Amino acid sequence: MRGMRGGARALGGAALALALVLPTGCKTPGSFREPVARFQAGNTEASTALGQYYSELNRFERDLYLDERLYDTSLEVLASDAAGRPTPLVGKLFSPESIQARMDAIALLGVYAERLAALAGAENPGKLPEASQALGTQLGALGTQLESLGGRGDATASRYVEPVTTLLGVATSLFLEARQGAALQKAIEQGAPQVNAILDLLESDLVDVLGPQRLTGAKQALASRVMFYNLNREKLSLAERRAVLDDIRRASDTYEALVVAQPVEVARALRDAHQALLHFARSERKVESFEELSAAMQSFQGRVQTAAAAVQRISTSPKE
Amino acid sequence: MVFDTQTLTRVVERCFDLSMSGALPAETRAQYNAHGKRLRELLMQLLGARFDANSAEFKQATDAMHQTNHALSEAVDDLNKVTQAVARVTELAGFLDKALGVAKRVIS
Repeated sequence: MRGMRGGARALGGAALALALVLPTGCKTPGSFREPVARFQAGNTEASTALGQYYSELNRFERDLYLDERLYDTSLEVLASDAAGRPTPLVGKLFSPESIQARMDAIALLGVYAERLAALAGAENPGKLPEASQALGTQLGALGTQLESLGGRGDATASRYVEPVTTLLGVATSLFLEARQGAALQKAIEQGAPQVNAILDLLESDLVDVLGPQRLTGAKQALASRVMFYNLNREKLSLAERRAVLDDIRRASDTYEALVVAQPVEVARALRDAHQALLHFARSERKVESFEELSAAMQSFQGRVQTAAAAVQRISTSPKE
Repeated sequence: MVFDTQTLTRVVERCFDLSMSGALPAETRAQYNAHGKRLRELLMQLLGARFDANSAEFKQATDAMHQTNHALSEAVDDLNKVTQAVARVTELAGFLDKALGVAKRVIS
């Protein structure tokens, strides 16, 4: 009987100790789950858009080369020019190896987002809570058995079994989640320089290489059509003029879309989203920071969707 | 050597703009159009060269990212091991529970 009372006191003490262990702010890394899932979804969309943009570099030049010959009958279609250099018809202005280097980098950003999501439990949200809950239930059953085995003894002891085992489940859950949160914080912190290095390079590519290629190409396509119309308008029938003018309108729309779209926005949105994750990890995942992160991730998804749709629109060849 | 692609881009665009300008006679417009095309060809050669030159930096960044992803993969495995350890404790508690059930029957 005395032993049972002692046990009850011990259980009570344990319950109190566990209750004190529980953090009042409840800054669980579960908070990472939803933002990281959004980051991953946005990252996938951004990677698809950027990948498409890169993979079309040489095709864009080939289409423009043929487009130029459609409106200028003095130009022949050739595989190599007078100096023996390959024309865009067969040549690769941008080497496949260089394009592949970009595609690899983009794919690795996707892998990074996937691993972060796996670490945050975004793929299997119930895994950690289930494990700790199962432990709590199992320990509860064990406690009942022990109590029953000890005979009738101190009836008050049974009152402690349930709260203690529940708290033990919660404490285990917090322990697991703390491990998860620490791992995520470390991963985001350590990954930041690499992610930023890739985003810097992509941004530089998009601004200094891909942007000028597309803008000047779209302007050339428009100018070729305008030149053709102005030189031949008197020889064209009404239907032919309508067709050429429609073509000019489409080329003008494409150019305008390029000016407005700014595909570099995809890379910038990715950078901002990752920066928000980093800020959240560094600010000890406070509630205010979580709200900021959540808003940043929603904004990220929106920006990527808009930019990806724009990239899709301008991915059509000059003729289309 | 780094060259200013932005300025060259603007020059090319300006040539094409002038090739569509009503302020110029048709012959001059045609000349601007030809200049625009020629300059764009040169711009593309420069862009292609820069694109290839930057590839080394991309490969370097990609290698570093590989390492980061590998470390992440290990962190995921590590966390899985902790979760498995909790599962094993749960299993052990289950066995003890059954054993105590047997013990209780023997005692009574």
